[in-house]
Amino acid sequence: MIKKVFLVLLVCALPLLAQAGSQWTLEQSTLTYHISHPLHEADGMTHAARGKGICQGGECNFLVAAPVKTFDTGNSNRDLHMLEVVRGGEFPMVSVRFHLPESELTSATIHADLKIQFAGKTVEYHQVPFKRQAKGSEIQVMGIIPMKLSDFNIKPPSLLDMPIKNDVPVRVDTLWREQ
Amino acid sequence: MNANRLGVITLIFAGLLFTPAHSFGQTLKTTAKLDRSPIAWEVPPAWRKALSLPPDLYTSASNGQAALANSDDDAEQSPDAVRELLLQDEAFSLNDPLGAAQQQTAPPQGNEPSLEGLGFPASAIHGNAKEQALLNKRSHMLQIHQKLGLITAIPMVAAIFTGPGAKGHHGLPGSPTSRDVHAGLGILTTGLYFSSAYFAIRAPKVPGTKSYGLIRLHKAMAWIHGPGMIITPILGSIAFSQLSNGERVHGIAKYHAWAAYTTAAAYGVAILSVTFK
Repeated sequence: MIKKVFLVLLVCALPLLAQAGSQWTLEQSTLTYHISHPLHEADGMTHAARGKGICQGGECNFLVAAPVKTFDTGNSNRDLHMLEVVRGGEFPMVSVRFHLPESELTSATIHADLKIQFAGKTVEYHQVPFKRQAKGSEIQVMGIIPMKLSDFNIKPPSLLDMPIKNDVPVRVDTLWREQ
Repeated sequence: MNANRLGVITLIFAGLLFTPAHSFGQTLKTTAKLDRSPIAWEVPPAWRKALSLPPDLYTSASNGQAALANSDDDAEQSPDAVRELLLQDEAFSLNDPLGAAQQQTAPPQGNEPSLEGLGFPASAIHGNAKEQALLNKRSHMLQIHQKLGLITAIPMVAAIFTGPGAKGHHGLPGSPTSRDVHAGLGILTTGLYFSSAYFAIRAPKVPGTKSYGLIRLHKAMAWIHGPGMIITPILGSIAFSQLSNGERVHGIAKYHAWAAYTTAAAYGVAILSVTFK
């Protein structure tokens, strides 16, 4: 009888054991976009991103998201214009999802297929390289996402009738902690 | 002496106004140079240095579509590369904006983390069409403000140049034609200025936002050139009637030119403050 109960419990526990995995939480982050105008350059920065990674069965799914309105270029007028052109009222979040084999989390360079939701569109960037550095119990992941405004159907905003460049690279600097 | 001072001030203002055009030419040259090496401008050099990125990071074969996404010159890509780009395009969401908005908050599948799971409040995740409409209206009105403001600068500079001719020299009044031209330019400047100001003042404010950065200087300058654009035409009109009556400019009208220079200088600073940073 005891054996049967033990077996039943074991069978019930198996799926739970199989699901056991690790979780990663974004501790600190700096996301910076860079714009180039013929008359000046500007960087818009946010530290408000939040992120989580769930690893199960050797596969990890990550999500990093930030409210669009938290990006700060040091000029409120420019930030509000940017919010307008990226339709930040309708689509207030920018989110990045990526899927990785758990084994890749230990390599010095991580190549990720990013799925970015921004300005009402979802765009995939393939094999974007990120540098990984272990910092005690945390890992620092840094890289640059080669974003273009046209990918998201965003009309480049202009000043004095001169539009900004289509290329808006986004620098990512994140610190992750395993839970 | 006065004429010299006037000339210097006019030259300074003209220099201020024409600096953007000069810088634009320089920037275009730089851009053309950088265009030969796309990597150099696609990733700011400071970032590349900070991340110790190798120069071929976005061009190596191992980086596949990231490299393709970076390339501007589609004509140089192989048919395979073009096909890959098209496939990549197909990965784009074709949903309408509403659909995309729903997708942004769509529940994740399996073990995928969700936006709600990150702890963002619902108000931060869900879009608001009213807020977007407000942003659109604000931007539209401020773009008109910008265009009218730049157009205003043209008759303003012309009025400054024609001012000495309207006043006359060595105690002699200027010609009536010069006065009329100067007055006409002044009226045109005033009309355009207040049209431009209307769009800035009436542009809706976005609740919960504070001004920061050089836009504060731009707004502060309005406290100088705004009153200046009221006082200058009034003083100009008094001066105009005095000269038309064969009198020398006297009394408060003597300050017409100084009011105009101060207004123009503040206006120039206001333009430059939003142009260069």
